[in-house]
Amino acid sequence: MTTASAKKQLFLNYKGGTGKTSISSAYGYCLAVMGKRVLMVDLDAQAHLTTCLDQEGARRQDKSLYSVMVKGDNVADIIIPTSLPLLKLIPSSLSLSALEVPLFKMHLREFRLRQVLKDVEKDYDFIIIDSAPSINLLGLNAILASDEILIPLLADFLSFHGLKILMETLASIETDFRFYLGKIHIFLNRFNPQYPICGECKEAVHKFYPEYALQTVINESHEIIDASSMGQSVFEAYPDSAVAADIKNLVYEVNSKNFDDMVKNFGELVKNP
Amino acid sequence: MKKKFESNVATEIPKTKLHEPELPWKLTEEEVGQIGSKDDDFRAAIAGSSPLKTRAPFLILLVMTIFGITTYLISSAVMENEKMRTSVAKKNSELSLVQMNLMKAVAEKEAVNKNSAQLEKKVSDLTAQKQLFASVIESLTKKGEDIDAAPATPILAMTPAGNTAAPAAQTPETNAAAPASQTGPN
Repeated sequence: MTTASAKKQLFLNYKGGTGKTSISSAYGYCLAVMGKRVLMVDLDAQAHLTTCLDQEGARRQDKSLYSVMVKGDNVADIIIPTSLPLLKLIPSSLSLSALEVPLFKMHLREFRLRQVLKDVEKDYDFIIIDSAPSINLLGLNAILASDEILIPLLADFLSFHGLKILMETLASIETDFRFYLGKIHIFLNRFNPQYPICGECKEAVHKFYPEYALQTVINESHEIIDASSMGQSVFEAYPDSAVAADIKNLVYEVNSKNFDDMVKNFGELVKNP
Repeated sequence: MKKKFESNVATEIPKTKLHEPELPWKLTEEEVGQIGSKDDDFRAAIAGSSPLKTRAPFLILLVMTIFGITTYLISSAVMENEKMRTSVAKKNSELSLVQMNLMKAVAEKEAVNKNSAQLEKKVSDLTAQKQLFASVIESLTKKGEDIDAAPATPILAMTPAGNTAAPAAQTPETNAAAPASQTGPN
């Protein structure tokens, strides 16, 4: 099934190390394996998503998201292919760290990314955006460009406190820009049921943010870390792992309404993408 | 530990589209589907048939519009023409009136000229008469002075016999009759 325009999903958390990049890369890969046309957008100047998808060479190319957003270059020119035919990438580079200053002087600076993605959204079913762990103008662009926000949360107290700040920030963005954000999905990452704090955190999330908390949790595992170090997706390196199943569940739960026609024999597709 | 979680919950959370007010005119998926299927039915129905059948109201409306516009243009042209004709007739009547006045004025001018010529002639006649009278008066005055200056001789002795009637013929009464016969009927 093809949609009229892509659903834009943003992995967002202002706290670092919560699993935005590793999960978003696996999430996008999973969608592409399921037959969806996916565009991944790396908004982190450290370009870890680009590295995860084994496209490190793209970090040094002349054209980047910087030139598209500031100079008005064509976005289609900076999209690069990956190991999967349906999975494309807008890579990041260190130039993104300098984007803030010219962006600040521009008209409609908060909506530049939205405008940029509009040019290509007809060509994809999903656009997955991996944001940087910082509160800045590019992050605001990403929030205003997305239809849904996925918040990976570590099951500890400080992450829960960071979630409070994030939710209040999103609420103020809604008030300031006078519009309603799309859906918000909060899910726990690196969940270890043996640690009491993980259980307590999960309980608190479901109690205080019941409308946004997902049932799916990404269990703590070494496979996802290993896969990123190999420049592979967890579905390539460890297709039968528990974490791969968790991510698959995440994909199903987030997109449950749109996935009636989703591929049934997912396992075979992973083996023969 | 639980208390710490409870005291660190966001005071304001985003409303998101979950709480977006439902718009009264918002179409459901089913309704959109129905509209789409109706469109498909219509497309299937009109495929291959002539436009006159499928779009008759549109064509009738188009013809009526063209007819209306044409009628309006023709009637406005006719009205304009009529107006112009009326205006030309009015101007013609004004012109003939002016011409008549002009002719009248010319006739009046001729009459005045004629009258003035007659008056001038009368004036010249009167002037001539005046001169004649003046010369007669002068000659009579001179004659009278001559008579006064002459010695007291008997009139009968001095005048020849045949001239006795001459002074009578030169009296002012007879002289006055002579110019009158010269002036004519004027």
